[in-house]
Amino acid sequence: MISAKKCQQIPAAKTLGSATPRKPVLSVSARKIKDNAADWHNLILKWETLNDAGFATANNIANTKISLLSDDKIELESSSPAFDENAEQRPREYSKELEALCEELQATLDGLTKIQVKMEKLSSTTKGVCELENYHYGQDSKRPLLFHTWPTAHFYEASRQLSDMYGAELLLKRTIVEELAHTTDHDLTLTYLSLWLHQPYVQSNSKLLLESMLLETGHRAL
Amino acid sequence: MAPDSGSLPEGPILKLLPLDTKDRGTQRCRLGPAAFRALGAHLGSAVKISLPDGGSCLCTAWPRRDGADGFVQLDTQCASPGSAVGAPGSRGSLSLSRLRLVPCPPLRRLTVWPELRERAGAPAAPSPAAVLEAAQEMLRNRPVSRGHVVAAPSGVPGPVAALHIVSGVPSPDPAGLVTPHTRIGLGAVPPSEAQPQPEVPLGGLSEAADSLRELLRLPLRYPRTLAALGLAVPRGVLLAGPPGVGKTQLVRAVVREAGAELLAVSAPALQGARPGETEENVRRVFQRAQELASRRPTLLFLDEVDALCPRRGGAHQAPEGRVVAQVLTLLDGISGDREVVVVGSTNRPDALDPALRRPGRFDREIVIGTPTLKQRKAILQVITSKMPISGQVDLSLLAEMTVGYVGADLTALCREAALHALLHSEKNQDNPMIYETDFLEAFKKIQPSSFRSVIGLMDIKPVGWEQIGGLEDVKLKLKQSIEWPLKFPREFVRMGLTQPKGVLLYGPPGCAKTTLVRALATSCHCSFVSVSGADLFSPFVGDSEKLLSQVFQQARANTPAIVFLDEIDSIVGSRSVSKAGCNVQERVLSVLLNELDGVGLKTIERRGSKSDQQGKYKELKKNEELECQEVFNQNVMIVAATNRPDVLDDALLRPGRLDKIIYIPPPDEKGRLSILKVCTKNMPVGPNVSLENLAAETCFFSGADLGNLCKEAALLALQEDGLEATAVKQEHFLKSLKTVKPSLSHKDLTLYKNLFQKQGFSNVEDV
Amino acid sequence: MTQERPLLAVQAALKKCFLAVQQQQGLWQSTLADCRPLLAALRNLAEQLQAAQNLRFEDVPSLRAFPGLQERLRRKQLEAGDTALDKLGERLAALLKVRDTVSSHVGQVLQIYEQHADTLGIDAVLQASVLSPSVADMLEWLQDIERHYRSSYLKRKYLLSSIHWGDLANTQALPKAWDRISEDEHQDLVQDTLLNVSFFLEE
Repeated sequence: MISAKKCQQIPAAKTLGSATPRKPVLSVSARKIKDNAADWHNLILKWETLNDAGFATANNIANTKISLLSDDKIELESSSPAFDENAEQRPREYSKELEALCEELQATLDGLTKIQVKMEKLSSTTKGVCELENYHYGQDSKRPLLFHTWPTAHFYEASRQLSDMYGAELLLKRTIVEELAHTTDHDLTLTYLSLWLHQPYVQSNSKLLLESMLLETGHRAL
Repeated sequence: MAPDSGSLPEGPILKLLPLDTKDRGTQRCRLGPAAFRALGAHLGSAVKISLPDGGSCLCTAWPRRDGADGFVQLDTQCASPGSAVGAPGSRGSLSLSRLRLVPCPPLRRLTVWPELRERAGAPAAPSPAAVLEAAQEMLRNRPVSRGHVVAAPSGVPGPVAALHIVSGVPSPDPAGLVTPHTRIGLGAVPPSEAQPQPEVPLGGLSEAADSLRELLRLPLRYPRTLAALGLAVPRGVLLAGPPGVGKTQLVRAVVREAGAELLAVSAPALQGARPGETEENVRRVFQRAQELASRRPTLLFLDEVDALCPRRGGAHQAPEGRVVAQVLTLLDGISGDREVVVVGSTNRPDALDPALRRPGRFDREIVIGTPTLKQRKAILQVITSKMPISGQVDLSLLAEMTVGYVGADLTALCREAALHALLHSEKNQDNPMIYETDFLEAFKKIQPSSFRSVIGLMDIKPVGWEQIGGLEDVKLKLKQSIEWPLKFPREFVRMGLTQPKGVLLYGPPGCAKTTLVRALATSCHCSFVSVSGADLFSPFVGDSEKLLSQVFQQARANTPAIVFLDEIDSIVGSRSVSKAGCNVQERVLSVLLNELDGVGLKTIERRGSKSDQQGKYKELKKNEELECQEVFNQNVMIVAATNRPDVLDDALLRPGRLDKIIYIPPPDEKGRLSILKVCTKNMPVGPNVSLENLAAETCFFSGADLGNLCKEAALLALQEDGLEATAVKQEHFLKSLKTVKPSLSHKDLTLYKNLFQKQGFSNVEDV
Repeated sequence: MTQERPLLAVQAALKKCFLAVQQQQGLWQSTLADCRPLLAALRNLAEQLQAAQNLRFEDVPSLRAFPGLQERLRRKQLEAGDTALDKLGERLAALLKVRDTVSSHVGQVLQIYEQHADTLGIDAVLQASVLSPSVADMLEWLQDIERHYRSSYLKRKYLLSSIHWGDLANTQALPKAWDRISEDEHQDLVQDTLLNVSFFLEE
């Protein structure tokens, strides 16, 4: 694993020639692509951290909700005359807590949204590089490879796929944030949590895409 | 310490103690130091022990914790198959000479035959690799001996239940040690069965057993031969017969004999409450059968299959329809497999869905009927073979008496008799003997099960012929037409006589028609069913007819039987008299006519086997009494009684139906005298009473009237002389004669007389 | 003197073996402790799978916009489950290694005893002193320990191999079943035995 810090340093240092022996000095496009790959790595790493934090919050929300519900039930069952005083107080207290948690989750979601926007941007820059290349070479079939084996379009392809995955995932997460605190069904709550944790739209080949991108751009040694 | 019995002089006796829980599954044998020294054993040496029951086991020698001598404890985890010393309660003693130190070289190779656990959840048999691994784990660092079985410790899960040690290199005989380097292989050949279990004799079922056995054994034993012949072997058998005839036992016995695996399922147990649950259960059972079949031939026995597969097509039967379809599919599917035979049993084969009863599903149907006389005798012989029966007990007689009894009833009868003998013979408790009286006593308590649900079954109070006064001619006639054919069939056959189908008794009311029939039932041991109008009538259309036909069906199952239709005129009318068209009575009549001389019996009512029936004339020629009787016993006699013979349908009275018509006259003077004698038998009659006079004065009195007269007189005596009255005097009789009026009149009697004259009956008795 | 030497040799072997057992027991315990979170994770997963199974996704309006969600989620969950199972498999291999090590040590001791058994005689091996239990006892304990590891390993292995995702209830009960194995067997057998021989080991 490349540490996040190291990756961030990569574009700054610009001493990467050793990984691509055929071209001691990288072209501008290549450098851009390489930076992008490192950015991808960092963004996904950040996403995962935020996701974990969000899961913890969501978990808390669910638990609070469950205890709240069971309390409600108890109170409904024992609707005593002293009902009004307590009932007014406690749910508010709980909902305050719940509200705080929900805000926290919303903040996490905002963070995730920002990351996703950045991902979109990355994919569009890659697209720009591709278009530039197209402009340069036109229909010429003998395009030089930027790195080892991948044509430039391939980078765009990978970026596109990744950002699509995370885009879909973000939509799902937004739904979860909206719905989670309003769900009363236990199975549904649990499923929301599971959805958050397992990120069904981030397919398992995302890791493969990222790693091969890193390998191709020379961040990872063979 | 060991008792000095001296019976085993070979060595010191060691007392066999139950195993410590700690040592369970360790294959250790705990010995005292003296025994160690005597054997020359080291710690953990392999010791082979011959067990008292003839088996042997292999253990490793370890010293007892307390160092005491004279005891031995064994863990028989590796023992010859079937030795049961492992039972914790086993006590006893072992001579030291039964312990033998054996060399235990490490084994290079070992072949075992695994006995797999039956697992509920896992659908498929475990893979050989898994079995092999489990075997390796089980045998690790164990001494084993050829021919022994290593049982899996009970707490540890795994696919293997036990391992049979087949062979090894060097040969583990007497012992060999399995090391981590021993190469263990699975032997495909199971070691020969311990010993074939002794066959449980099946009394009277030999023919049914033969046909079932053939069916089972062919595909189970010679699948390849049959495949080579290109034969599709039958896969399904339907056993039909009333409950208790031994269907289940037959299957079990045949399975045991063929060495097959039996999966017995009671079909009602498969029913589930949820929709689809039943189908699921059925599927699971068939799957399980197939699992079992992967190891050895398997017989899937569906008891009471009619509960699972009722006839489809009725209303509100969609769920049943699905179950039936599921069973059909599974049956068809199973026919591809070699080794599963499906046997269904039912006592209502007609209630089964017809789709089940075709070749390819239930290929064959074996009908086991209520046992015949001969079969009953065979059954009784089997049951009593292990009982101390007194020599005087005549099993033939017993068989004759137990009409309608099925195997289960006969077993119950014998058990009851044995119980009775045990309770009532205080003399020799140690050596009880069962006498005929015990059987007769038990006979009173045990009723045939097939007869328990019969409509109109009567618990008759036995009445002897002599208890009926007068009517000697009638009695003779009744005996002639009913008792004789039952008792002297040979003579009837010789004379070319067929027994009468039915007898009609008619006569004025109160003249002992019913009592006569009761005496008849008492004198010939046969089933007696009495049906009255109340039994039959029902508000539902068709119910009465069905009931009547059921009565006959059940009577036929318990032949010889007498069906008594009291007040037959109320049950069946006359078609000519009532012009209303199709009323109930008329339909009942037509049922009755049909039952009297229908075309034949229904297949399920068949008794014995088919060949038996077809060969009945041959058997007659053999002139063997038992067989003869059997043939004759296959009929049901109808006795009808009425006091209005004029309203009966003519068709009922023609020969072949109620062909014997007997007039029961009101008693004449002689008759009245004997009736009075019978009535006053238990009455303290004063010395001045003249029964002869009374008889002379009681013209037009029926038997019932006479009984009433005596009762009145006795009551009068109590009334007049107070409760201390000791005797009934003549004046009492005379006084009561004034109050009690005869129920018959001259007019009535002439009516009866004219009736027969008009119709020209031949059997007429004058008053 | 000729009596003494073989006894000393056997005792030395026993000592070595017990020390090995002590070390392996530590390994065994720590490995078992490592399994705990994995089992809990499996249970949680089973719970999640169950919840998702109970749910009809098409009936939840908020989730209707996500095509194939149920299938995707299930695939992810199963992936996670397989990862946990793989990790458990590694732990199991570690347990197996402990078992095999102990097994071979015990085998060696028995072998050494066998070599000297004839010269030792039965009385010497039954003799216990204040400091040292009898050779017979110690050999027996070692056998017991070895059997304990064997059966414990086997039970755990069968338990893990019984997991399949069709049977969620079973999987949810997994941590309990795992604990039950520890409870069922004489859990402190090894510890107790080691205590019994502690003086002998220090000698």
